[in-house]
Amino acid sequence: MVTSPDLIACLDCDLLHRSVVLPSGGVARCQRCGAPLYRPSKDVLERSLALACASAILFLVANAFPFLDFEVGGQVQTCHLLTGVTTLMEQGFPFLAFTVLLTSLLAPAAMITSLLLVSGLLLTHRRPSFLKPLVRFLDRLKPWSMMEVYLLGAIVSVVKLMSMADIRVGLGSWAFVGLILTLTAAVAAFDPAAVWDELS
Amino acid sequence: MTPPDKSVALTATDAGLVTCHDCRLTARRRTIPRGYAAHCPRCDALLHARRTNSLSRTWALLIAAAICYVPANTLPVSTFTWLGRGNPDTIISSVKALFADGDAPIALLLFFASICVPVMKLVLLSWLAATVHFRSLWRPRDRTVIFRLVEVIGRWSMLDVFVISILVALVKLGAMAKVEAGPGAVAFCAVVVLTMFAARTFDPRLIWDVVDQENSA
Repeated sequence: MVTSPDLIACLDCDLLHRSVVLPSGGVARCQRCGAPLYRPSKDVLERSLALACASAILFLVANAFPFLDFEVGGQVQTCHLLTGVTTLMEQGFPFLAFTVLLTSLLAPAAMITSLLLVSGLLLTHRRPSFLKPLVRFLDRLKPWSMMEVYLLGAIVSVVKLMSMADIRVGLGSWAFVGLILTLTAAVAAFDPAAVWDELS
Repeated sequence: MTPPDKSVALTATDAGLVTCHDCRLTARRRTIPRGYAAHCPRCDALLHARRTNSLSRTWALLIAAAICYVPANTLPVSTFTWLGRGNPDTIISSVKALFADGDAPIALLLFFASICVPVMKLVLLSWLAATVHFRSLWRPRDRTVIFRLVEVIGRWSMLDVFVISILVALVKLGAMAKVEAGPGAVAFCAVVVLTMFAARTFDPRLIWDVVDQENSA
């Protein structure tokens, strides 16, 4: 099949553009509808591997340590990231439990794993057959990782409960904030265009 | 950044090219026998010129979301039990209660995420699909920008679902204090998920196809 690697069509309006080399920090936008087309990238694999490693460590810490403590009248209730999911299950809401599990834990975990695998394998010049499907899978996962929305939800919950109980922020919460930063940076560093160039 | 020819805007369709939805490679379009599919030579994904049945799928998902929107707002999303007395809340009553308690910033935030964003998504996506359906030529660029906006802010309507999941995990001290999720939360979550799918199914290039066909005619 004939392909045109130097041409790029806008995904929002289909206008064709010829790719040019951009200065660092620049962004190419569609002339007709303004959609971002591509950004210059540097050390794609090294950066995403490093940031994905940091994310993996923070992910483990965020899940292993308490997220929030709730104390009222001497009784303390500790919750972890996963507690919300198990409690929703116990209360008979599997759909809610699954959606929360997917958006706050599964999608980020799958993204970290695929980032580690893809950048690790490409850096060591290995191309197993599952590599291409994995890169495509990673792109489809992106909208389902909603950790930043979850964090805002935690802040709202704390403010709601502050008047009636003592809330303590656990180590898990801080790791979670760090995880949002490192995983966002890892995803931003992982430029799919550069990865597909590498793969073709 | 210039298109290949400055005077005439050339689209991938005009040039006989299709863009791979997964890796963005542009490949020459070929006729293929019935029952066969073209795969991207670079990433192996199925090649489509546009998202498959974009308009009908978007409509189906929007109608499903609109149906779920009714129980999402009439049924309780959570029940707060305090010293043995239960107090079920719908989305609107919980926002009202927060306003009454003087938590204005949080109340505004929840009002925006749980009421404004879902309504905006439903209304704007239906409007966009309708403009494509009726072959509107009105401000294609602005409509594309509106679509991108809907895609970006959509995820924030998940806020209330997360708040409920954290409250049920934290407040479980038996009869003294307890929070339970309600059936309204399931319907609300379904609205958010369905509208996310609807936004991903809608192909904004359809807005421009109408304009391009009109210009070339």
